[in-house]
Amino acid sequence: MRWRAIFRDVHFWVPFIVLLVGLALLRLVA
Amino acid sequence: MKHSRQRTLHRLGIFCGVAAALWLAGAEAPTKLVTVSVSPLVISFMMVFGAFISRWSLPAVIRGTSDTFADARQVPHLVVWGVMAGCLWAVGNTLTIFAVKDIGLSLAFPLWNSNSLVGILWGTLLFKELHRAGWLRKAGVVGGAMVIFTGAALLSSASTSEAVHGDPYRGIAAALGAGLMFGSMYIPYRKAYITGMNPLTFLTFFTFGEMTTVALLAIVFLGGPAALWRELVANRAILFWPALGGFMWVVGDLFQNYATKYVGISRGIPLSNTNQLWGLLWAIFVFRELHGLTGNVYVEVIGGSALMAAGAVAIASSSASENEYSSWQEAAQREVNLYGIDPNYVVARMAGHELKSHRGTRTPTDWLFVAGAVFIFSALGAMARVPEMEIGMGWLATLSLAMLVVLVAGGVALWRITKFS
Repeated sequence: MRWRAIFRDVHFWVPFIVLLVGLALLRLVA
Repeated sequence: MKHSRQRTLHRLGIFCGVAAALWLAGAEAPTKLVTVSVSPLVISFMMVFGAFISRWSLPAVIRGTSDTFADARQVPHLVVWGVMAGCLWAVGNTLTIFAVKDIGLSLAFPLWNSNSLVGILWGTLLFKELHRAGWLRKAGVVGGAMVIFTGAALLSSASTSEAVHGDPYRGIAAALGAGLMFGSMYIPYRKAYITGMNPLTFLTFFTFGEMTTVALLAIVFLGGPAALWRELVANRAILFWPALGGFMWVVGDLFQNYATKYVGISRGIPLSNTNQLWGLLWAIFVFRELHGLTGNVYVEVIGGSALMAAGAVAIASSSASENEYSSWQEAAQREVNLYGIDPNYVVARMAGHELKSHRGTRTPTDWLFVAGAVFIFSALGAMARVPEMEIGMGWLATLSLAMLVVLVAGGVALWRITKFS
């Protein structure tokens, strides 16, 4: 199992960045 | 994978998408029994709580918890995606609460329902879905999703008419944000299933992200853990209903995940988004919500329903071709290369088969989970009060029976074809 591959994986970064955007948006609208 | 097996899995996936729509719509019904004024955050918390205990007990009944962990040991990195999907859902769901508050359900719903279009975008960009598919099939899937989206917009404008006085821009941003969260949640779904993970395993980890995030958000927005507890105690008579909704939602979500596994997100998600159609049946016939409809609204309801059904048929008939399957396999090969996963595991699981070494059995711990879930639901049920409202009992029985039939048929089909793999 190559755990470090997670950080080279676009499939990780795309939803992770979307999640950060969501949290920022929540802070704005709440 | 043989062509006949591909066709069988396609039909199974389409059936699961339709079953998901029926159960996801039904899951909204118990929350309608909450007639007193309760914070949406409390309802959301209890729904997720109900889902959390169901997601630990249902897999225990179906395949045993040991099987869940054996599956996770094959692809442990996917636990990260499971938890992340749960977080995305929780943030998305909280955004919908603020969107509805600002712009009302009729405008907010179609905006966040754009999630299936976001899902198609990610499916195509990241997982090679629809790659090498003929133009007719691409048009069937994308056109079908657009048609379902339009039908959803018509149905929501027909089924809601509340006056809302909030900041429209803030509401639109929140609703679009929710659509982005739900649409991006399908990246982890597809990631797990392109590798071959069992949906029961994935959902078990999903609930951790979901429960933790929802609990944190409820605590932050309500003003601390003591405030959340006070709200729960004060509203104990209604807590059963959203928890029951959570249970039904788990069944719907399981079907949705099997659909995602066997037909991909671009086909599975638009199909399960037709839940609005069934939701409308519940609203009109069981809860008698839309009294005295005007001619205009009838046109919207019938037109929206017809569009949704047409979109679903277009998607269901656009099966993945041999060429598209080879693109899916390329996407799976990427996972094998990147994470060093056993290729036999990926090939077998993608085709809905088991590796012989992975048959789990149920242990006393599993029955403990089931007993715990039954106890919690019974305790909440004992505290629950049925509100006095007009309910169409005949229609309630009919729709419940339809859900049961679909559940049994789906369960038997999944067992026979994939052993719930």
